[in-house]
Amino acid sequence: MTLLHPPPSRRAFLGLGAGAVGAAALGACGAPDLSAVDLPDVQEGYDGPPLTLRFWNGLTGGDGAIMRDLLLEFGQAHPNITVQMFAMPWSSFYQKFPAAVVSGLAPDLGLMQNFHVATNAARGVIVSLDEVADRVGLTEDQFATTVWQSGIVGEQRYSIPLDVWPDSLFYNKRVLADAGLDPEDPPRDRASYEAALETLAAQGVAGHWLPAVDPQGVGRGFDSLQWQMGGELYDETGSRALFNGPAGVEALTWQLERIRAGHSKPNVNGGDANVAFKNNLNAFLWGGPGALINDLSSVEDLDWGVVPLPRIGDRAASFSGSHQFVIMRQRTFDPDRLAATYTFLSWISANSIGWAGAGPVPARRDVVESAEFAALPAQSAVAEALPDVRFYPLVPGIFEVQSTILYPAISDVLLGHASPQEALDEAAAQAAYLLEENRQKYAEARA
Amino acid sequence: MTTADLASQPVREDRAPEQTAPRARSARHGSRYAPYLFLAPFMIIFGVFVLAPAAYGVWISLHNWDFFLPSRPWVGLGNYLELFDPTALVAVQFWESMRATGLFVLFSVPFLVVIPLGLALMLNRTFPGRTFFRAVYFAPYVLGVSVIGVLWQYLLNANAGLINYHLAQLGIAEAIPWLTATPWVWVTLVGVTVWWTLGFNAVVYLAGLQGIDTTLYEAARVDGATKRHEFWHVTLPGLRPVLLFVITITILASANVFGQAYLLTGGAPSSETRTAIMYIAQTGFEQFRIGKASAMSYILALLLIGVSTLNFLLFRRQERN
Repeated sequence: MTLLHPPPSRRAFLGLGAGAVGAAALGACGAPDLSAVDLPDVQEGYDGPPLTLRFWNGLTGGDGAIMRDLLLEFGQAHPNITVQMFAMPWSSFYQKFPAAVVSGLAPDLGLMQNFHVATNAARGVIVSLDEVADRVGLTEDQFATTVWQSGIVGEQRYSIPLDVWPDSLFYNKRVLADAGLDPEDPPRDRASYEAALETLAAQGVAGHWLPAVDPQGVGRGFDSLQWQMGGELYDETGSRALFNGPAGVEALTWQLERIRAGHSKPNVNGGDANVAFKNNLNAFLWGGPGALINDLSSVEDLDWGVVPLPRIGDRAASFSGSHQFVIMRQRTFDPDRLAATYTFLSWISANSIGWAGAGPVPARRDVVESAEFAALPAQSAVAEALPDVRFYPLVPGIFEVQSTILYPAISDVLLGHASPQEALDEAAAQAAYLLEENRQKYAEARA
Repeated sequence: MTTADLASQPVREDRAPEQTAPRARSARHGSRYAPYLFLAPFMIIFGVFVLAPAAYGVWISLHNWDFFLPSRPWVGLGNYLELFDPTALVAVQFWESMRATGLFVLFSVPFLVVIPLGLALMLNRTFPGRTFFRAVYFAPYVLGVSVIGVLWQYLLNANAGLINYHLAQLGIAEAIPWLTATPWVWVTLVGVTVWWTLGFNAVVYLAGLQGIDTTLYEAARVDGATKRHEFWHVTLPGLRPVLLFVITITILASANVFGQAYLLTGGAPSSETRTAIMYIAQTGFEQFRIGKASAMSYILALLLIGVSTLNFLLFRRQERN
């Protein structure tokens, strides 16, 4: 070893490092491809060698177990197709699957909540299913219109509805009976609902625990109420928030009055209302059947029933979501896998009665009208609300506007830190900003 | 940089011996690239997981960037300028979240510096069960933030929580909104964080205390120093480097607060406890406005570098005095 050369200077060393870093950075920033996709033509049904489809979703609760049972049943009917399911929390699902698509590792199909379909369609990570719906043999007259329409973004279909889960009124029969109310006849309109809450309050029972802070989103009750009072959350093109109109203010004021009148405890957090309901301390719970039917059924000695939300405004309306199947964009589509995917979609749609056990109402009209569905009392009661279900508008990025702007504002009011008009006005101004930014961003993406 | 400097130092100093005994030199020092080879495993990981993403982040912050969209228009310093435009919504919310982070640092750091010091002084004495207590105070630090988040959410729940239940038994009828109203949210966040992390700082202090020469205490006692004198004139000066480390690391850890606020309060009430990192995560990974989120991260990082430098300078000046 000689010292003909001095050790590399600090500058050279740093320069080398910076060069490597820069090269790595530039190499990593390839932009995704969003060009239109033509799905290849495939044969009817799939009878080739065994293959495994990858199916991602957010069914991490009891609903996941029911989906897995259905997949087994499908496997028995179609031994050459295995559907492998990956479930992760919904929030992770919406972050991870677009990344998987962009990096060429897309699963074959997914299930997503309808209010995320427009966003992902605009992102180009799911493909248009106009022809697929025909291929699978699904048509509008098999579905409730609102549900069928909820899979269509900009005149193209991107998803196939599996189910509907309108927010409903769950009532605790024991609490009602103890207060001298008829446990078999829950209140269905504003006057009787408020009267029941008054009766309960007179006996020291807060009958409608109203969550003021909730990681799951505190605002679905508000959404339903403002629709009932004739309001709209956004204009049709999704460029302006309308929730600060008179209907929105009236809806939020009604909620606030529940807390002020002692119908709800103050500062109710996340699952409090649910825990109180299960412990016979709360009479009414507003929530989705997908989560609650199985959850409440699992509690021994809990005597409960469910009906559509009471009509507080001048018309019936219930916030609803819907799980919908989507096909992920692939770098190249394999006709065999597509044929198998169509086979699965067609089968599960026809057999969605099995899915009703998870709580939601199947989207197919013939399934809802079947005798098997009528044998599920809770689901049947929830299904009464089908004509009045309302969805978020199909605008890209809409869920983030709801969850990061509107819901925190509602939380603010219900915690007693702001007045309804003031909080909703501020939220509408903030929403306008994000809506405009989204509109530009997704318009540029499609241009 | 400093590591590279230090590593290359001995090679230069040893030039003279090398001329007289070249074999010994090469056997002792090896190739002049040896230091870099030793550094390489760390540098590769550091480069791939810290430096490269950081540089990539600068590039992202100059665009209107969304991972999943093909068009990523160049906006230059637009994202940064917007954060200093008081009429822009994103600026208002960002500085609101910086305020929340600042408040948390202000409220938590004094407790996290002082309480563990007191604890370390006590645990440094000889008494039966000393090791047991050392383990007890360190134990919460082992738990992940999700565990302590869920745990304290149950305990502090206003209507169904154990703490309010016991307070009610003690005669405090009004349910305290620990997780939903000021100032209680700050009491909660600071209290939980202190409970959770004081063990770490205490262990660092404990190591520092054991490094102080016991003869100094004997000398002080001979000179008639009281316990208080000993603390101010022997213990504290002896702990100076440890104190600098603890303060710096605690400020940085507190400024990065995310999990506790995310899990316990979710930012409530209003956006009072929505911290900077929470807002950055929301902007970047929920709304997918990655360019803006990156710009915010850089502002936060620069501020923290500034605070840490200031901290170092202050301690160095004191040392000179």
